[in-house]
Amino acid sequence: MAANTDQQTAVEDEDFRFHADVLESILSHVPLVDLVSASLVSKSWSDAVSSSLRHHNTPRPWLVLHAQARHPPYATAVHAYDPRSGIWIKIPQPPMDYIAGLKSSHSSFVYMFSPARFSFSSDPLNLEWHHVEPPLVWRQDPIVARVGDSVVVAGGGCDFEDEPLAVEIYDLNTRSWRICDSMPGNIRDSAASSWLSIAVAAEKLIVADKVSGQTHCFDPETNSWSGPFDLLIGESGSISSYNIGCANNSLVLIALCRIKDVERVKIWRVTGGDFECEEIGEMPLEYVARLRSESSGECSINVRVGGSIMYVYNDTWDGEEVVACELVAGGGCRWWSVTNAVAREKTAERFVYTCAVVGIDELQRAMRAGNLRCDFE
Amino acid sequence: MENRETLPSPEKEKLTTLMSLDGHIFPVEEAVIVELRAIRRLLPAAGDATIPISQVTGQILAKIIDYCRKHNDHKLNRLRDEEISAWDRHFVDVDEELLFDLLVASHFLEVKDLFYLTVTTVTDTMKTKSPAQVGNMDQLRNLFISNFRLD
Repeated sequence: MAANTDQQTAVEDEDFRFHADVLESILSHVPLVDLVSASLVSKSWSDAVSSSLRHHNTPRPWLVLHAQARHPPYATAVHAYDPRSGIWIKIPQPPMDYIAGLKSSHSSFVYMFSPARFSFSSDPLNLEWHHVEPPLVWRQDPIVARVGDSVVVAGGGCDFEDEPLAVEIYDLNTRSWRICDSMPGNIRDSAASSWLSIAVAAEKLIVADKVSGQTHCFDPETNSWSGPFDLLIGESGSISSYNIGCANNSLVLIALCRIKDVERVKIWRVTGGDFECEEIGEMPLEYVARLRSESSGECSINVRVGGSIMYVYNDTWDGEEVVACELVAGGGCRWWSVTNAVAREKTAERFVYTCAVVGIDELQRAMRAGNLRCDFE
Repeated sequence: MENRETLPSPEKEKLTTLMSLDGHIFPVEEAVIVELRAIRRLLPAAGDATIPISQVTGQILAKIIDYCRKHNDHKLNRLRDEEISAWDRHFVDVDEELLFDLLVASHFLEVKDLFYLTVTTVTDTMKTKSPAQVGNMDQLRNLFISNFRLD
């Protein structure tokens, strides 16, 4: 089979390549979730599918949308967007009591607190949950993140305590809590899900104040905090929102800024112990417009990051579109927008987003456990 | 086998002659050749010679030429969108063996839209199958065998 060497036809067929091998071509066009059955036929089929996925049209991080009712029993429906094939699928949930409002802090980590229980999940499709006793001190909206085998709970306001709240860490190996010194700085009373942006990079927890960009870093190995650091991005305009995440194993910053009266969204890579920022891209203005809230005319952004993709969304209640940015080889960014599969039932529901690195393995496990009988939208 | 009459035209339209694996001859017009991207690339060098399509039988080649003609009609607005969609659905409503023959041939000849149509049809079939049923899709399995040593 001749490879496509004709320059003109190569340009025409830019987004549709005939691979030298017909099987590769087929598998490239089959959505990941439809490849699961083929991958479960036998070990050889599984190897064949995995090999194909490695070489052609590899899986890319999913955007997962958890739509939760605001009142008990907090019924939750989960839908996931697969950028590899551009489709949304519904993910049936394991039978579970949703004890409180669901929250997410970074990548695919979700959690919820009640006075009796702390529940969390970090697998890509959130099908496996841990239910443990809650930390010693009850807090309002603390920082919660998974760093390696530790779940860190820090800060959060408390009406009854004047003393700074200790950081508590749940160790997944010993299945027990330990306490360490409270975090320094003035962000420990902040309601995490509203005012702080959280990322986990290089086995450390990084917390940035969304308004000031002031950043602290916690290492669960040494139980120590460092910072504050300032994220200096040298913008001549004003920055209204700092958001961080971990893309391709390094820290990235997505900031909403106003330059000469125009709202822009830019991306920086953040490196080194000094948190130096290097600009890597800017969101095309047509996509910035899609993030603007219809009711208030304002842009209020949040991000979820995984692998090489950053999903940027408006976290006010009428956000309907998500803008995706993918870091491509060679240093550029590819931008596109994703329309939510589900229209939010306005005040009745909350949307919680995660970004999940989903491969054929996760889908195989889900199908074997009976969790995956997906309906297409 | 198809053997359409070409419409009379002021200039004589250039026909290219294709020959299938099993020796059937198909004179085809420019509009069809354009869709067979793999063949289109050979044209300048081929001149007036008959082009052998060594991997496609006459039965399949005829169907592919038919597909290209129908889609050319659609392009020239001789067919409405609903008509071509219905025609496509009927075209792929065939047994698995024939569907895969069309898939492989459209890949070989690089007929983009037909390849995509057949792949989508195969995918839709796979969506509803359990692993055991997918394992019984002999045509798919044959493709895997030619690439990997399957148990």
